[in-house]
Amino acid sequence: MRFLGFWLVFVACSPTAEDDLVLEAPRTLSPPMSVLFEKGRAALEEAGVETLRWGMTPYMAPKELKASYDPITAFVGDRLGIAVELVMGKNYEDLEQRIVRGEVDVAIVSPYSYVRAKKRAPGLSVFASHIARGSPNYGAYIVVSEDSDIESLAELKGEKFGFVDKRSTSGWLFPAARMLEEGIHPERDLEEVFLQTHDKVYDAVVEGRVAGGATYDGGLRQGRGRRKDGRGVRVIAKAQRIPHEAYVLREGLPPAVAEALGAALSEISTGTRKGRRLLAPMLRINGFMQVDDSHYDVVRQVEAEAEKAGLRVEAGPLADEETEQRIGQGEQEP
Amino acid sequence: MGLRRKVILFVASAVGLVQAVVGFAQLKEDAGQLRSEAARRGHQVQRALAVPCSVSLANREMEGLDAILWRFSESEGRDLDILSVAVLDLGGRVVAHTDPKFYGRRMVGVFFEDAVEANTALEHAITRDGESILQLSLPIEAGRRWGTMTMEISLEAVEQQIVRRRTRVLATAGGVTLLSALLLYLLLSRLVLQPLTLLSETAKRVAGGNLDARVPKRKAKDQITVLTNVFNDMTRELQSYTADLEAKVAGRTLDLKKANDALALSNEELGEAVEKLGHLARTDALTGLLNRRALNEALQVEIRRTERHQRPFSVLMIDVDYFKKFNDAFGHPAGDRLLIALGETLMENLRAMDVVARYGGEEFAVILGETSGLEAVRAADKVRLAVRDKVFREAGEGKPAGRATISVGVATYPMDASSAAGLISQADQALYLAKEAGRDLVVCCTPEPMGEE
Repeated sequence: MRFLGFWLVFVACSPTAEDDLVLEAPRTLSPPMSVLFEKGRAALEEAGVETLRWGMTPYMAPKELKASYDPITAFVGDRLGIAVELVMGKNYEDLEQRIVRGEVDVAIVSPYSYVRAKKRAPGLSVFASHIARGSPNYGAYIVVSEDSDIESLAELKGEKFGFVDKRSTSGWLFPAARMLEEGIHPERDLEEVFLQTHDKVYDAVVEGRVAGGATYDGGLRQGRGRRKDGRGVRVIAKAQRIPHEAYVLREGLPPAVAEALGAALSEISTGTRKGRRLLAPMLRINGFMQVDDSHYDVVRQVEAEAEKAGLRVEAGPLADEETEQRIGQGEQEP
Repeated sequence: MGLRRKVILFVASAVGLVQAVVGFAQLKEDAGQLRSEAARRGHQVQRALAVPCSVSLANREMEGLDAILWRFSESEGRDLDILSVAVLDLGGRVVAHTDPKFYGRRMVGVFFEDAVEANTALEHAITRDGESILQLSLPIEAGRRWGTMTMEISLEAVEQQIVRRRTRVLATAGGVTLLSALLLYLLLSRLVLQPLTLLSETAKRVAGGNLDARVPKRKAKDQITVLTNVFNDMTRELQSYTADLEAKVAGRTLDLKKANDALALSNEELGEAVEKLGHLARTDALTGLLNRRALNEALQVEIRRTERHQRPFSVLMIDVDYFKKFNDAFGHPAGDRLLIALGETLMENLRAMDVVARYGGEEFAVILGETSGLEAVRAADKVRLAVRDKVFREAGEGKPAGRATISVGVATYPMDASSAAGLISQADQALYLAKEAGRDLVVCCTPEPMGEE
């Protein structure tokens, strides 16, 4: 397909259910995996890394997230022969800072976070991303309440609108860019509020505290599951799809490490029994693919277009104290 | 060459044309198959997508649809050039599209209206911005109708494949044309033109005169062989005919040469005869001296010369004295011998330039060129004395036959006469006088004083 040229791991699916998704084994020609792992471990030893600090953006409840990722990081550590310590960030801004400063060796960050961090620390290298729900990317949606009269973006003009955060890809950048395409300037045409988390945006829309809101596909799915009153939202527009989170290696670690980590992750997929055991159903992850920086060019492109259309892309308001306490309890989009 | 070119052009073009027509017919069929194969595959992908889509639609998971469209069109439709996949709701509005901008809109076109209405899969070919596009639709059904799936597939790759095949068909047709042209060239050269060229070259040689020229025999049994044989027979006929003709001409030429030779010979003989005849006409048979006729001619010549040089000439008329008696005494053969001897004596005692002739019987005449009367008399007397001193012998027997004397009459031109006849007459008269005066004497017709002698 002409709009998907960057697959490194081909995804094959059975047509009946997404759980039957089968990932083909990575077709590594050379060098053999074991040599890659050996080189990676040697490089880490040389860099003086005894324990690999693996940072995570807490886009789910940290406890569940940790439980879901522990088997994965343990497998990778086992492959390279090195201990892995999973470090949970306070929020993605915190993790962005840590990976830029080199306080963690590896970080899973949101696409927009990666693009921003890469500007600050060009030595960062992305080595993997994942496939979820059978797709290498995910969707950002502009929603209104189910019983709202609003049918189109134009009708949102002058209304109160809920974004997540100015560092959010699906909760701000991509929906804002989509609005600009329709001639709506979020800052000038909307009364925008930054609600910090996707679940808060969802709830605000359902409860009518905002006329509309921006969130991602997981936010919609989890919102439907969380609301007991049966009230829901209606999608009025979809933004361009976004590549999944970036698996980033800090500055100062050689490419051999990135290659070894990528190779280890590539072994994990729902196509194998072992892979299915490692991948918690909750993550909806089907497998991993090795990617390079160009995988996130689409984010840079959208950011550049939005900036050109008049969007200020510098950091927006941080979460207030109350909200900050809530982070980690609700879902946090990467 | 002309014939060959025409035949090759015609036949090779015909072969190429047939090849092209067959190729294009096949191509049309293939192109149809390629397009229907693309449609079949597109529908296959759509059916694979439709089931999970119906689940998402039933659960009202709009976000799930997007992921399904992406992942299924990517994995299942990898071999197809899928431009877009969309899910329309029962009202025909876009609930999911590979391009998010289309969300909530209505697809423009009769095909999409038909697709929403139809209970079966549809396919439709269009051209958009010069690109060949196949539109497919499939109702999404699971227990009930949930919506419609549409898909647009670019047929550019297929079209390119068809173009490639078309090029190949054309190239094949071209190749076949060239090949058949080459084969025809060789075939015509070997079977027709080579023998024809050989024939025409041989004909040229024959025309140039070489009748030995023959066209080599051919094994093939065709019209050219017939022609060749006829030609060879004809040349052979021509050769033998020419040979006959030449033999005849040669024979005739020989005859003619013989005739010519004979003619040349007779001409020569004739000349000799004529010469001889002339000689005979001018010569006295007995003595070999000039005869009277020759003497007359000589006289005429001498008269013309005298007129030119103004010198006189003289004539002597000589007669043998008592010749009858000599004849009677010794016989005619002795007389003849006497006459012969006399002639010789005359010749001996006169100058080479002087003309001596037998005038008739025992009479002789002499022309003394550029000689006056007096000189003539002296010469005549010298001759008279020479004759008197000479003893004539019996020829063959050696016996002396006695002596003979002569009488001489002298006349001089132009003193004594003005014509040849007159001159002879005057000399004859002087001779008569000499006879009268006792014979063995010289008499000059002009009375000249003897004392001067």
